[in-house]
Amino acid sequence: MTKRGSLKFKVGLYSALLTIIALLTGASVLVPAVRIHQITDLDATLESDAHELVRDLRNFRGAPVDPRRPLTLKFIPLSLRGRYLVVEGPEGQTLYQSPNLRGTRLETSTGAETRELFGHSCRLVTVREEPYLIRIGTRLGTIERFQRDLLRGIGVSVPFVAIVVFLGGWWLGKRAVAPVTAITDAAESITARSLHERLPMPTSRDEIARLTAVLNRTFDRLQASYESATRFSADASHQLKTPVAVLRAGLDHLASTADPAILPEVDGLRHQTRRLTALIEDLLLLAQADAGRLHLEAEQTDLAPLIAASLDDLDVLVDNRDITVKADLTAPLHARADARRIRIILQNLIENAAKYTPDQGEIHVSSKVVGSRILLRLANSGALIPEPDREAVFERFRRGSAVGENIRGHGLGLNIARELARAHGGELAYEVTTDGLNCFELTLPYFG
Amino acid sequence: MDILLVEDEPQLAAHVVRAIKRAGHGVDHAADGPSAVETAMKRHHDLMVLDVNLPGFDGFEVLARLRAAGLPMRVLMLTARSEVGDRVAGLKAGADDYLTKPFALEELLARIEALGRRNPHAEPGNVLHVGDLCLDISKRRLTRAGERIELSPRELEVLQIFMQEPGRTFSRDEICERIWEREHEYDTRTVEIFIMRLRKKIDRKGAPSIITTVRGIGYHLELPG
Repeated sequence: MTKRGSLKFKVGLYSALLTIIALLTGASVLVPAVRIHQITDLDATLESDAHELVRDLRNFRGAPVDPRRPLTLKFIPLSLRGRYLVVEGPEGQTLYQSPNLRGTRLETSTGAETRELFGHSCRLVTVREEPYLIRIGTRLGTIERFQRDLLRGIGVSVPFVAIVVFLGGWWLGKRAVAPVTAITDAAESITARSLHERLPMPTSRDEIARLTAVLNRTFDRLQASYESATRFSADASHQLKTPVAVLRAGLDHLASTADPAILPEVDGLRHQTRRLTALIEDLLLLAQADAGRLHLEAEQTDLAPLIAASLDDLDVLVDNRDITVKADLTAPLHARADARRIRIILQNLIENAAKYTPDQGEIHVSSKVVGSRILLRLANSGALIPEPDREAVFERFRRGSAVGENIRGHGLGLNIARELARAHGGELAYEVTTDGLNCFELTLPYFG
Repeated sequence: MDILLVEDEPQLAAHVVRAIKRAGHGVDHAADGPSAVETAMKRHHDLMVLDVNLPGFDGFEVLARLRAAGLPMRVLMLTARSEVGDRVAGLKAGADDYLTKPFALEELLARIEALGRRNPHAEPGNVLHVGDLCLDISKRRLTRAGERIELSPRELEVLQIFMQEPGRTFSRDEICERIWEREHEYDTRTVEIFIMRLRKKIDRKGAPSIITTVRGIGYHLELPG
């Protein structure tokens, strides 16, 4: 959810940043270019002013002015009186200097230049047209004001442009992501139970269409490997059990014909074939659970007799040991359950309790209905499972590290029990009771 | 009884054929789906022992073809437990009973006998009588000579096994198999304890036990008179 939102946000943010950079780069080229253009224009104006002055001096009221005589204000056209102006004669003598220069001498070479005069930037142009040398200049005030206004305008517009572009980018991002969101939702709905489903192909031929095609091909491969895994677990049950069935039938035959002296041995071997069968079934059950294909033959079942029978087993399991079993059971306990699988859960819990309870210990079994749940608790005294191992006991091929390794078991019992509880829509959890007992709590949905 | 065994694993088939013959029945053997249907069409059989996984086509298909051809023989299906829903599918397709692999030959023979006796769709009896013992399975109630005896759930299950086939000897292993479908760490020892407790409850004081130990083999139920 947050990821999807942040993509839209990122598109908006990046477009806005990009726009600001573009705007500033543009301004850094545009502003000097405009200035150069305006100054070139100004130079041309100043030069034409100088030429106009010389033309006037050559033809002042019908006759040329003597180029060696100093000039007075009346010789200067009105249009040039605001300019800085110096007129020099043929020998370099100053013929006129405008009063706004306040006596400052202008040492300029030929051509145009920018110079500081009385605290202002000024543009000065020197024009030689025989017999005069004209130095003419003006303040750059207009151009500088224009530059300042231009920069201010750009500066003020940047945040507004950024906001507009950000919103636009966010909207575009949202539109671009919309098909991806749709694909995500569709892909999410394809689970182990509906692996044959595919994403609808968009009509456009863009990246989204390619993504959809690639995802669909991935689902094809996933379905194929998933189906072969499922087929494996079905085949394996047949493949593994057939030799065991042959062994079993052979041993039965041996038992019916052999010397009675070896019968106990044959019986022991038969027991081993049953162990092998139980192990095969456990492994297949886990394979099915992993593939999300644990099928229950669930029907309306009263769990109370199953629990009573298991308690009977527990009583016998601790028969020759000094262990107190206390039971507080409720009957009936209606559930939609696969009785065979519930027996496996109970058997694993019972064996576990019998195994880990020390002599002089006690085991408490209780069952009750709490709201819409059936709650079965099996608590036993003995060393508590250390904190870090409490989840680990439900892992495969793991036994609590605190207990001796000499206790038999293939380390699948609690893992299987939990998988089966979850397949029933229930849970199996460990906790320490208020009176300090190890407790396994099985919850299953109640169907009263 | 004439029995048709359909099983593709030759060694298993050989053991089963031998056991059926020893029990005094006639037996034919087919190793795949098509030949099973062919043999069944050619000769009359009272019962078919049918494996699910077969070359050609599987047991369900065999069953469907037999039923389509109107053959009335009873069918006992053999399945590997974890083949999903086999039991349900088999019973729906018209099998009369099922047995999961691996199975005890004794168990298979007992099922064959039961199916042979049984009128195909009758309910199994709820009350068992052996001598002066009377067990009502649905009410979980046992009386001996009219006197009520309280049994724990497992004690009742053990006694039921003996009472369903009085006189037959059951090995510890077979009893375990019937009570706990799944192997159980201490099961054979546990069965001994249940039998000990059962004897205490149902035997007459001073008289020899009605559950006799057959050394090296197992136990059977034997009532005087």
